[in-house]
Amino acid sequence: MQDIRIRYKRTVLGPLWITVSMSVTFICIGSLFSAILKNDVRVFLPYLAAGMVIWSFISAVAAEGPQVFVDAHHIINSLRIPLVVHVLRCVARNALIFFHNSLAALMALLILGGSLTKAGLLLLVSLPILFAIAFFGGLILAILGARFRDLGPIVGMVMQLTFFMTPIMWRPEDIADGSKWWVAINPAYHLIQIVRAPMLGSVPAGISIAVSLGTATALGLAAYALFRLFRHRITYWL
Amino acid sequence: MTHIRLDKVTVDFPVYDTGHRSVRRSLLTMGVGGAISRHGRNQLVVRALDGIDLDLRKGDRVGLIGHNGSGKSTLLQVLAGIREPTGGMARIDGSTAALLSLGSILDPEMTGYENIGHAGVLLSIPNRRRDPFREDIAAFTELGSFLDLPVRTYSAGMRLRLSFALMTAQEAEILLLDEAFGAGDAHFQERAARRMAGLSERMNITVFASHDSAEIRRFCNKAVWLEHGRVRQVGPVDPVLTAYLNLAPAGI
Repeated sequence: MQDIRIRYKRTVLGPLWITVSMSVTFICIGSLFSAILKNDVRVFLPYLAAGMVIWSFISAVAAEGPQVFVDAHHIINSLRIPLVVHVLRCVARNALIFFHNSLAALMALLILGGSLTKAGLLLLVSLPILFAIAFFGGLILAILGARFRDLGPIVGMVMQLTFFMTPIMWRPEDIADGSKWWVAINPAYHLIQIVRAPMLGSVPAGISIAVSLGTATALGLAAYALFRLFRHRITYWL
Repeated sequence: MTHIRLDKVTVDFPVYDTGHRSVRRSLLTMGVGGAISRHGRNQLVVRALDGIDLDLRKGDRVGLIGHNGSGKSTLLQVLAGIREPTGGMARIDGSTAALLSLGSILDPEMTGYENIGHAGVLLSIPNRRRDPFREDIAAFTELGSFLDLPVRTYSAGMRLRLSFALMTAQEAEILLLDEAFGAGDAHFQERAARRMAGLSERMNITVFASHDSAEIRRFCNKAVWLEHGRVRQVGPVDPVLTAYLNLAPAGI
């Protein structure tokens, strides 16, 4: 994707700025929340950093998704390019930002005395799952977003709620009493977990991997069905 | 064998008002059931093409004429494979190069050269042709060192030159053009016309929508007159064009 390279060359500073602001955010929030939750900042800060980096990738794709076809309507209406290319571009761009931010999270981990372990190799499996979910989800949102223009704000609202309900700024073990079923049934938690745990040097639970694979499959099937049904209608919605 | 065959091609555009575009409204409608769901059936539809039959073969250079809104651009979109007809059958054998909206592929923030590279990807120019593609465009636009500046600093004429050069650098068997050269100075128009002539020589089929009868006479050997989404008359350029022009003043 030469397009990405061209854009990248021009905006090296852009992702860097995002990374800087991301670092500032997780340092501040990390210190604050570890004080509130009374836990060890050395453990909590890398945890928060990794979680936020993954989350910001997911939420960026979700936020841009509904606009993908709408924003590309000039190109879609004048050139014959496979529609999925536009979604791929969106995912690739955000993946690039994700890798930048990961460096910041990695630095936080190393400075605070953590280290990478062999579990990190699991990222070779879990990152493709993450990107696949982003692609399928992005395609679904792009198709629906072309048809329903008020989808963007709705998705934004849902994502914000999910952000608070998912263990990113807090850990499941920070919550005193038992009923954590709403963490266990949250697919976003499992998805974040399969990437976050290897980043921090531990092996994610089997259930997390299974749930994430299931999510990827379900989204993949839904995206395929929607795309097959509406591929030819999309140009009429724009 | 390059061949275009349209069989009763119909294109209906749904017209959505804000209500139809809202998830919230659609959900409400679903909840209320019968009463409001008539909404859906009464939805406004614009028929842009209405049962078009067309058969074009190698060597055809077709001029599309008709009033504004007669369906010329929609027909070109169908021929380019951008828009799938809502009814009928469109069979297009051969690769197409479509010059439908100039400027849509330029990104104002990128420099001229970056845009050329970007367009090379979008137009799927193979790697081995990238360098000649780039040189050809640089030479044709005569923009020189301006190509190192972002496109947003260009004048309208300069943008036109660049996008025209990009779109006409495609290699294909079928060329589709929509009002190719509306603007630009006389010098550029002359050069653009020559480039077009060369291009349509190399193509097997050319379809060219225009309001300029001189251009149609110059480039085409066949004319299709569209009216309200239907084919009103097909045939050699002169009789069709004469009939169209005789009617035009009375027009809409």
